[in-house]
Amino acid sequence: MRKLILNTLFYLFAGIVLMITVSSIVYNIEVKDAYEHYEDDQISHKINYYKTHKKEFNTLFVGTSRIYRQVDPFLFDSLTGGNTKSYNAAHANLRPYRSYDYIDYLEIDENCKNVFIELIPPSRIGGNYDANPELYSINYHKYFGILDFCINSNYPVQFKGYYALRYTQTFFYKYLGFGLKKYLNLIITGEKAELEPLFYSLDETHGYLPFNKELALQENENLEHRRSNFTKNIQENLKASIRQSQDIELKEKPTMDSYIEDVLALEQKLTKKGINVFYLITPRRKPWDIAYINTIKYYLKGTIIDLCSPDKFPEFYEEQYSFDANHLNHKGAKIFTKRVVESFNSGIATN
Amino acid sequence: MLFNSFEFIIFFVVCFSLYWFVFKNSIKKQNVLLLIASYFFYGWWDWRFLSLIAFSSIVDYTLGIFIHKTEDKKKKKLLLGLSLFSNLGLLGFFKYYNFFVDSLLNLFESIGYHNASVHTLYIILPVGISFYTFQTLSYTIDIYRGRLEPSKDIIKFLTFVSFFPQLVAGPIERAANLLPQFNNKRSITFQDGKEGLQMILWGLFKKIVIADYLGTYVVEIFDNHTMLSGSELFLGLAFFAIQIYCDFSGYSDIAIGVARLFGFKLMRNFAYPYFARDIAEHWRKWHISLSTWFKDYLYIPLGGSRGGKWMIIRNTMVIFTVSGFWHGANWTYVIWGAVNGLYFLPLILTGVHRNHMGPIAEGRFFPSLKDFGLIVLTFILKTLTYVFFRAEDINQSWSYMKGMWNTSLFSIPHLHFLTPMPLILLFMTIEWWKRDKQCALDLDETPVFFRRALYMIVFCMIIVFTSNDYNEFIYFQF
Repeated sequence: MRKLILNTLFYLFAGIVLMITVSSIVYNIEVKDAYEHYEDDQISHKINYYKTHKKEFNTLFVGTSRIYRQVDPFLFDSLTGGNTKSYNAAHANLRPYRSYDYIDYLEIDENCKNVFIELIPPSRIGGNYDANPELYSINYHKYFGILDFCINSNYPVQFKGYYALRYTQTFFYKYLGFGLKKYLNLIITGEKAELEPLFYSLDETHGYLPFNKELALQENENLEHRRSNFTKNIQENLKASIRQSQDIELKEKPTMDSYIEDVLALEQKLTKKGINVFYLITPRRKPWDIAYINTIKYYLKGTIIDLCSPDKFPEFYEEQYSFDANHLNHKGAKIFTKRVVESFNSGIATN
Repeated sequence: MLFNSFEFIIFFVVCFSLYWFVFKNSIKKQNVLLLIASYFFYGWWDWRFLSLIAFSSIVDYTLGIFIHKTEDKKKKKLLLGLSLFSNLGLLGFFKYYNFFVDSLLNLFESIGYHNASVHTLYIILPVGISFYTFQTLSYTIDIYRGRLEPSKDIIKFLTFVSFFPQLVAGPIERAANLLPQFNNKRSITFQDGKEGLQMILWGLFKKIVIADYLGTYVVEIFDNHTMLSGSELFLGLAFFAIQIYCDFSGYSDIAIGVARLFGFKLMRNFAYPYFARDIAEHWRKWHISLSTWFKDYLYIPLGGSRGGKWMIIRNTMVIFTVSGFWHGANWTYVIWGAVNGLYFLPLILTGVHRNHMGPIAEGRFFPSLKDFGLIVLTFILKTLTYVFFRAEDINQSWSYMKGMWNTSLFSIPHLHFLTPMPLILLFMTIEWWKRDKQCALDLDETPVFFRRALYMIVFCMIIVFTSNDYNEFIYFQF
């Protein structure tokens, strides 16, 4: 039995070492279209549209659904007096670290003058990697970065533990070579997956799709479910949002971690190209997010537009402007866009 | 729980450790552990159907004792009838109820009579029901025939019926082979462990690397069969022939390997059937546990080959048609079985069905030209039957055949459909090379370096081809 177990462990160990070596080499071969194959088709459409129309835009919005559903580029451009031509490149669940890659994929050039990035903590892995476990956007840098974040950051322990576990699982899934076949296939054949057609027009929306418009265009059980959950107890939900979104004062000098370093690096990369970087903090956040965002704010140099405070922006916590517990509806989106423009025009951060 | 899942690895490691390190000195405790593990394994899929397997086991356990005790032949027959009724009744209800109702309704409608009071039910087919039902049936029949003593230990019997390695897709074990093994003290030597692991590794390779990979092509070809050429449609059938072999024999290999690691020896279920030189030899090497079951419990009781030619034709057609029906409640399976029977008849009638009993190309690596031709012909014949097996209904089978049987059958397929060829050739070469061994990874006679390298390649290929959405084994649906 002892010999059997030792032999089995030997082969297992050798196999694992071999696989880690092979996959580390293979994943170093860059496949340009891998992103399109393994992420969301809607995101690919948004990327492709921007890449083919980039001369038409000088302002870009990147972030999650809180930007995608809440920033109207046409309204933004009309309120800036025609100084901007903006494109909403945000999409649901497009959180860091995913959105940092995304900015690379957009291939922003000198034509772009302003980039608005939603400022949020690193995502739970569900927002980044659950869509398809064979995603290739995780790498050594991000994995060890998230571990550093889990050790050093000012963030609740239970979330950090969960992040560490899920990112570890995803990291090993990738680097033990599971699903490598698809990546090899991309390298060998260069085949591109066919994208599902987009159900709305990017020409007509410039990437902005409020909830009511989406529900008019197609059925979306998830959105309907979220809306009905919210409407079951609107006042209680809104009170909770106001309570949770109160600003938190940092009592001591915050700790730098690898995530903040990444945000700073991104900022540097964009400013080197002469691009103005703005950070947007959207309404209806959780206290632990706010505490951490305040930590990041401490280190950032770019302009921060903080529209979260229920005291300063009570309209964002009103029923008539709400879609669900976390998002504004199309009316709320118009007000949100106006507030962003006000900050942008004044050139002064609202924080 | 699937063999090719992460959960199974954890389940196996826990069971193996408890079995050999905690309960090593007690057969009774090992059996109880295996029983709990087996019910857990089955319940992981749907715990509600545990009652079904428990019911089936307890009924046959009790009837087995009574059949053995009673001297009265009529009573014996009655008790056996009860066992047949309860087992086939369960199988009939869960697997065939909707089929019969649908067929009857269609028949009535075709003669202009519409009966709204009869309708189908929403019935979930319990995984493995066809397998464990046949296993328990053979138990009571063997006791009735006086070939087997009934088990007096209910734990052993329940474990025999639900033994997790072979519970959901066989091999369909005979009580005479498996049941006594629950009485014996178990041991595991280095050789046993090595052979078990080799079987598991090769089984996983066949399932994950070959079957699941080819499965994507098969789905693509069948879904788009109206737009593809005859040669591509033929490739689709050939891919399916290899897919189903690798899927099913892969499961059997893993089952045999896992059982070996727990100190049990299960019967061989496949013996490289695609290297057979005629259909008779193919069926001797394909799903051996089911073929021999049908031979022992249906063909021989029907008279076997003892009567005249008409009797042989009748019996052959009966077992092949029933075998087709066993696979699924659909007319396509019945036709598939009947076509196989028709292939078999000329061999039986001309008395050449036992011509190829010995090993092929013994002592040589390459087969003779004649043998090679016969192997290819048998493979093609078998492949053509799969149009019925794989199609969703008869209409799709006809449409598929119409698309295949035309001049485009001789056109060159699109390069995309030839992509799996190198992998298939590699796989077939390894299986051919090791055709005299039970497991193609039995590399004891090869140099150490080569052996280790091959193990590593197989291991790495399994990982590389593993997909997150585990594919079920095809035979689970039967």
